[in-house]
Amino acid sequence: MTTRGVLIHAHNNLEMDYALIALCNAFAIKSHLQVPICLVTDEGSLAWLRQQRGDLVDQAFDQIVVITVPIPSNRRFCDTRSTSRTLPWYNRTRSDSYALSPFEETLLIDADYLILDDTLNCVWGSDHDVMLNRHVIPLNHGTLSTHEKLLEATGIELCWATCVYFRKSEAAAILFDIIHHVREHYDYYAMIYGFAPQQYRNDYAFSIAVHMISGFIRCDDIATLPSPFLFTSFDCDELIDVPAKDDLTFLMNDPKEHWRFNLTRTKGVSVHVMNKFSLVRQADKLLELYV
Amino acid sequence: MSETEDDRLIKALAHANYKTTIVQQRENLKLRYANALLHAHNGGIFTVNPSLLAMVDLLVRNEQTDAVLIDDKAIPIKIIDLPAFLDDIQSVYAEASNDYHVAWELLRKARNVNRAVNA
Repeated sequence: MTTRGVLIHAHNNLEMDYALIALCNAFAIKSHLQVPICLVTDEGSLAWLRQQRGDLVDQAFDQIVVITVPIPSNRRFCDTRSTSRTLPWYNRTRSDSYALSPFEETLLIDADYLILDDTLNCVWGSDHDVMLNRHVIPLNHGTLSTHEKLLEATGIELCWATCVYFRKSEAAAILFDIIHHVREHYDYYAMIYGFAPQQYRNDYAFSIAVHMISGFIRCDDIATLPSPFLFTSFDCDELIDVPAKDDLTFLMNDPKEHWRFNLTRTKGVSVHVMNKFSLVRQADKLLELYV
Repeated sequence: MSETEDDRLIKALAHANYKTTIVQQRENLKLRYANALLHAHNGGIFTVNPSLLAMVDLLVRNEQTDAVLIDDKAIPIKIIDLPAFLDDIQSVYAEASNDYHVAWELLRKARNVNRAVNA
């Protein structure tokens, strides 16, 4: 068994090439964290990736776990404020990560969380069995809306499933068992915690599980990751260029004054890029820089 | 020829754009600096700051070779080789601060949006 590694789930839908995003990210991760990477995907996504990117697939991923296509929910994918598409979203497999991970210590990350620094190397060998973040910093360093902090206006604190560290241990196994249980009874928990059940969200399932495992109180028993926030560009922002390694240029849309756009450039900081369309548009450039 | 009110307004708005970009880029630098100051040791995660450096330096000067320090997550971590730990955190601090300084100076000299983003 390999001891430490990164686990990424990627299931394409009709328009969104999640597997390609995972491929780009895998090369960035390898250059910063130097750990093996395991991809969890389905046959269709993998076949498409191999057809499009050939040998790069085996270069990027040390292990590929092929599972059956999970049940989708529908999600509105935005490409800035001007365009949106409602597409199937295959996001229900992350709760199986504990069983699927071939590693003793795993960093479970979203395909679109671009790892552009080595901060996450601080997690290996940590005293904590599970680490995840409760806070995000938006790209404009501004304030967040309530639904980015709480499950609902009067709900519990939101935990982000974007990046989760876990070690194979009893505590982590219990947490994932609860997450799995919440997923299977999502309508019930949506009613109890007061949110709309139509779309399954991993952030919600993780938040509820953390709340339950903490004795149904707000509790910081589960530690945050070394950097206690996720730097996040929302889907109204657009990744417009990748000028160099670890260097991203965004056109940010003002959350209050939608007609306003500002340029920003981040260097050497990991960024959660929620506008996946723009990420796919920059995929060739990312591969050119990191492969 | 004297400037019209429109010209002055255009200049003011351009300056506002410039200030917004500068503030944004500074925040990005602060974020990178905060991450660069993180140091993992013996299962603990420490933010290297002047108080940690002073504390460890004091212990080393008092010829202590090991000590228990409280990490960022409030976990007590046994440091078994304090002089080596001090060397490590000093280099983390120096490297991160130097990078921060270089980037800050470039940004300080940028006088328009284009230069601020490309600093």
